[in-house]
Amino acid sequence: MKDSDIKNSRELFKRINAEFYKRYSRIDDSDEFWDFMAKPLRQSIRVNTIKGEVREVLDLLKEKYGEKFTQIPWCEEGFFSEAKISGSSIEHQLGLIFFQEASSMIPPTVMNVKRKSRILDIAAAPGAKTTQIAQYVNNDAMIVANDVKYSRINVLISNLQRCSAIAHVTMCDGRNFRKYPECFDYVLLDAPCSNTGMVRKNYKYAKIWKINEVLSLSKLQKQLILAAYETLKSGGTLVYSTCTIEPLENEEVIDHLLSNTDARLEKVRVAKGVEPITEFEGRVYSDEVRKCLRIHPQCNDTEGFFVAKIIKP
Amino acid sequence: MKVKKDITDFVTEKLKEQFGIDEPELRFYEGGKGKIYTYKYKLPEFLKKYLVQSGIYFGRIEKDGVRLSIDGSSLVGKKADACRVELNDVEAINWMSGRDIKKDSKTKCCYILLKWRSFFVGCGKLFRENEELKIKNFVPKNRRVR
Repeated sequence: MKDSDIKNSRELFKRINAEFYKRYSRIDDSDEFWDFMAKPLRQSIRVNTIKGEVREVLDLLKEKYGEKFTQIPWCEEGFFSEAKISGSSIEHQLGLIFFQEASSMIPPTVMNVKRKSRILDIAAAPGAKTTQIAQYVNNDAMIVANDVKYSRINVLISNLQRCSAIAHVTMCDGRNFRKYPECFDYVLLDAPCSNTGMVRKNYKYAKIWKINEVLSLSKLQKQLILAAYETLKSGGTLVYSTCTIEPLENEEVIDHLLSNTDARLEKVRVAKGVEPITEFEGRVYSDEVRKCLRIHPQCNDTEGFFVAKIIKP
Repeated sequence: MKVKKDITDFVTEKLKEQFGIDEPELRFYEGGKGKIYTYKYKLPEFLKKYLVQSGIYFGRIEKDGVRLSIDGSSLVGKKADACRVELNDVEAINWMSGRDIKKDSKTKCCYILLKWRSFFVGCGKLFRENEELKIKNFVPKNRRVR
């Protein structure tokens, strides 16, 4: 029997990866959660305001595809699309739109970036959030788009190019930024993660999931967040995000930062979420982590996602 | 074209001369083979060892002027008051498919900015073919519509 033949979503995930199912049933055991985990993801796009006004681009899209676009509540430039827009369409090739998952539009919106500031995107590839940040400052800031992998740098450069988003592209391990204290007004750490929130996009993320990988990512994320905090100026804003629902990669990482620095959290409430996790596998996290935004797929019919907004006093 | 002066000064002057664009904020540098890149703010010195690319590909220095990329034209096109032409929907699709565009025009321009609706879609070169005036297409294959 193929995965696509299984109608019961719980049975589907038990079959794909029993360990995965067991672990995430402890986090959310509602039928709704598993049904949405199995449901295909809606297409969403962001209008690139460096190239055109939202209204003008939307008029063009509606002329071509009809009334198939619904506003994403937390992002003025974001729209859910029922039209199947192709990557070789004129609007995409010109950089008028960017295909971007709706929940991943949240981190740049909560950063509240200002023009003429210094902004670092530590794990920038493929560049969706960097280009979004560039449009919010209208290309009027010193943006560093960094990534560790050479194979991902080319995609990053071509997306920045297509969007006319001006940034300096650097390549290094994000942990290196700990050597450069107090350099940036804003830092985005969209951390490498186990992608459990992206299972709706591709079941392979459930298939390849292993607890050892989660443990090793959690360790890396803790080092990255400390480096990101170190390179942030006093009074600056750090946004931490992942596309996983794994507590060890979310609340635990934030708790680690809070325990080791003077960081304070600001509440993120731009979209519907579930209560963040304050106790997991015998670990107890600071009550402050309740200020984070934990999104499960059923909350807004999106990917699973996590966002924390951190201020350096 | 061999440029002796500072590239930023040279490109800024050419933008003014060719298209009437006054763009004092962008900086330019040459990335080899006449390719020009643009950025606005300098990268801090300590990050230079990690640098892969500053800014975006803006255009190319040709022997008869500066030709802008699609994305370069988006950055500065709105400021142009000369050498720009409007495309209709069919022409825009043809342009983005890699075809030269036939255009009746009395212009004396060499390079011309192309505007479709309110969007800039690149820069072409005017030439004559069998008494017809055309705009030569430079849209790279990876940016063409299919």
